Amino acid sequence: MPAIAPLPPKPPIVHVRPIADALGDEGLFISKAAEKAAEHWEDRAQWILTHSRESDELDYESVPLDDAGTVRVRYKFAGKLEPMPYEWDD
Amino acid sequence: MNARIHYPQAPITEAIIDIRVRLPESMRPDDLDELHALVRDQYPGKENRALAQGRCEVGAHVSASASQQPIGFLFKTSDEKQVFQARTDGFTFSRLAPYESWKPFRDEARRLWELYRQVGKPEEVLRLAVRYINRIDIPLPFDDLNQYLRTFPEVSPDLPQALSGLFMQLTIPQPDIDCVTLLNEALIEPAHPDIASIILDIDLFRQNSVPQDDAELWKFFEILHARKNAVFEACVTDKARELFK
Repeated sequence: MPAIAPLPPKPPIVHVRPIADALGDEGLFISKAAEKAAEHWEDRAQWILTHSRESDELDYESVPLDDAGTVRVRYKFAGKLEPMPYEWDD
Repeated sequence: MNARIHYPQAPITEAIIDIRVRLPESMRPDDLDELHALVRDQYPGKENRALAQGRCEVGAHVSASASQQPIGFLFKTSDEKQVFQARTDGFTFSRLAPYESWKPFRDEARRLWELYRQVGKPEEVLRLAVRYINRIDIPLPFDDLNQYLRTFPEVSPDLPQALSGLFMQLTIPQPDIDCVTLLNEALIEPAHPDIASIILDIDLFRQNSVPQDDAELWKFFEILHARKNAVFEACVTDKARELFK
């Protein structure tokens, strides 16, 4: 089974965007997929990783919430419903 | 890891040699246009290369801006199979399929690099990389990816084993040569309905203690190439090798 190996040089351990530009269809596909993964990473994991590295003691820090406002809602009981269809592709 | 044998039907769709540099501050992207006069016979096509940057600020006010900054040129052969990029951040040489072999690919990259070095006068070489993108077309049906690949995502046997999408990236340090392998694997739309196409993208690079001298630099590319071959061989099975013969 693979183990997690720390990279010798500087943190963070992220190379999701290949640097050597590819020009063919396959390379462009990889670039797009990596870009998508990078966005996912930056939105979520990187904040946690970089902040946890700032301190030697691993401490819990919550991920800051996006700006939120108040929305007034009114619920109305509409009777018993059938379960919504579940798409596996989602 | 085994040494690489030459495959008559190698799955390589693109091979790249990439050298990142620091050019003198006085060097402007337009100055690299001078290279076209030196390679025009073999590389008649020319395109501008630009770095697109976007910025979005969210706060009391939301603002977004985008800009394009020219960074150099892309020169290509008339069949568009060989492409040479001369940018202010470095040099990239790409060979698209069909890929013949390492020697002519490396020799052409070296010839173009020498021209780039002559015109761009880089002050420092920052990073060296070889990147090989392979597309492995596996005939359907097959039971398990492990029949063809030795590096792939493992799915719990308690889950359905059919994948309709896959993108996996592994960053694997290679401490003995002070390099890092960035290995991408993805499922791509196949050319025919009776095959599954898997991309195996091996990007091997060094960005510490990079050789500055040309002879040492190209000697190191031999090491990168040999290791790239070893990584490829380590990732495929004999059944996959049969596909490339």
